[in-house]
Amino acid sequence: MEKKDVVLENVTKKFADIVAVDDISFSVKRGEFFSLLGPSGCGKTTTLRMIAGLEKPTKGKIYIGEEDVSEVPPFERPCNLFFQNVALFPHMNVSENIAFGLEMKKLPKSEIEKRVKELLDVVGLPGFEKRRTKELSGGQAQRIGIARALARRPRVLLLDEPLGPLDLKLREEMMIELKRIQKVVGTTFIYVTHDQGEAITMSDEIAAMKEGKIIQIGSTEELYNKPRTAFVAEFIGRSNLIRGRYHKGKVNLNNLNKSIITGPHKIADNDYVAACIKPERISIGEDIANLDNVFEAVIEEVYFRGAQINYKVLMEGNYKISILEHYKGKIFEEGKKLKIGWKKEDVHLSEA
Amino acid sequence: MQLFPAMFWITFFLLIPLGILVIYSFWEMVGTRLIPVWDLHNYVDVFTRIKGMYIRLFFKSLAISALVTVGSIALAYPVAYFVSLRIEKYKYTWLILLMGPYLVCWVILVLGWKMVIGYSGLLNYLAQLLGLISEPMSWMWNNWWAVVFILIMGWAPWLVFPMFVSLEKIDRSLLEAAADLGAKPMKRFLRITLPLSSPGLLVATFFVLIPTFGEFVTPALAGGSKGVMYGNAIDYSFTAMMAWPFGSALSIFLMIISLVVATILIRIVGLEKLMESL
Repeated sequence: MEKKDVVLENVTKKFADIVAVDDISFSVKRGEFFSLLGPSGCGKTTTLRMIAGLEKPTKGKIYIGEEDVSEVPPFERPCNLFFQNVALFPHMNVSENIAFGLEMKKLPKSEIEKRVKELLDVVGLPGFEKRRTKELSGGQAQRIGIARALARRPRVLLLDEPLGPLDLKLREEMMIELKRIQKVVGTTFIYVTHDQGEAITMSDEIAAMKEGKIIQIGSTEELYNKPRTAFVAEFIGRSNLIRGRYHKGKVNLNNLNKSIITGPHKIADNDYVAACIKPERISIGEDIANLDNVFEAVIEEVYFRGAQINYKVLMEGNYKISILEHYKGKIFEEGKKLKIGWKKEDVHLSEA
Repeated sequence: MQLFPAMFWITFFLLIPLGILVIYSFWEMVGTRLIPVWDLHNYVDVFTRIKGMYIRLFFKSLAISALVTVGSIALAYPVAYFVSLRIEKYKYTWLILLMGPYLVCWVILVLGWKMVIGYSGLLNYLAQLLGLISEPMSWMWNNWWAVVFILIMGWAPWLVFPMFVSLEKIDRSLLEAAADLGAKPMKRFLRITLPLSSPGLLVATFFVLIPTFGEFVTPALAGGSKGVMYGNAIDYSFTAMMAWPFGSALSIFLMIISLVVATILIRIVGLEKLMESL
């Protein structure tokens, strides 16, 4: 069995009457990049703060390593938190910030200096020791924040929406940087975000949360390709959802007297389902052959993105469908009537 | 031009009277007549008159001011800390309630304390009633420590405000970050809360140290002959002694020292930080 670094057992958190986290359980493997993904208010930050020890669970147990830390104060837990707003100490310079956690451990000065230098190398900012926190750019402050959180060699690094305040380009750089740092140090990362792109890019495993509950937990690919519910499907990879009733290898559509061929599934007949079809699995053209499902559609919007084209089409039955296609030198115009289609293997059925 | 109203105000109500004071300090007074002699004899007198009594009084007042500053900060800081970091609801209501009893004039405040610690005050009455003492204790009133005590009690509530403001400004996630990095409560206070609230402490020091330096009401009411302060000496010079030039020299000397002290304090923390916390 693989080693578990963090285990949550039936953890619940209530603030007055509001249930922020509702009886969740999961475990994170050693050295894994694990993401808690969900919209704001789904309880993901509260979950993280409970692991850090900044909030006490109303019910349930939290283990880090083998140890039950439910009653351990934050300053004695073997994990560190990277704060949403970075929270660098403004009255200290870069090296004092990074050294803070080490001084609390009462390490000798020479060792602290060595470790600070080492960490600045890891985050790619060598020679920044004497800089004042005010002089750092957004991206630099983030890296220093990560260095500070890694200084004590925590078993687990907790990250609370670390890339939120950054602009798009910097965010993409930092995603790659974070993943690189995680590989270098080999620490378990638990990452909280509402951005599916961040979660997909970096994570080994994702837990999708909604209203204080975990809806689905699994590898990035699993959540992307086989969302358990319509919520997960919409949240991750922006699937097209077409709702209807399942009946013997088909989904009879709500709005249209037609059905989508799906092949046999282990679903009871007449159950409501959402058929998810990824935008990149749908073909578009005037003449489509060899596909199990073909429908009429009108192009409503066209977004040319260089390598890809994103069509928003209105399918018969009033279904809005998004399609991603590789650009091969041909673009259909808005208003054009044509056909769209997909194979039955490309349909995944989720709970509606 | 936009500064004109402010400059007018400062010129007429501050610089001109101050200028007159400076001029007088170089003159002499005979009877009720001021004679322009233009020399430094008044300033020499500040140091030498009555075997240097005035300069000794100056240092005594400085010591009293320092004591009052330290004492009132020590009393107010925990209150500001408690309201800012421990109370979650109705913070401002608590602050106003705290101020309530102090919204009276200073003289009433001093006389109020006289009723508590004075010769025939409440404490002496209760101690006699309980048979702890046979006659009233006289060491609680009419001396310099009564002055220190009353000044501390009078200033402390006002100091809660600047310190509360600078404590409120501390980002709470900094304290959480410190805890997360292994700092226990005491360490968090010493390494994060205290240094980040230091501008408030400095404002408080300004608030108290400089006005207390020239204080004369409290010593006049509660100090007796042993509790006289430098401010009383200035007061006497202009009234009973009819020595305006000497009083002016005492005032100007006090002002120069105050400016020096203020400059040093500003240099320690920096004007920018100081203004932020006002």
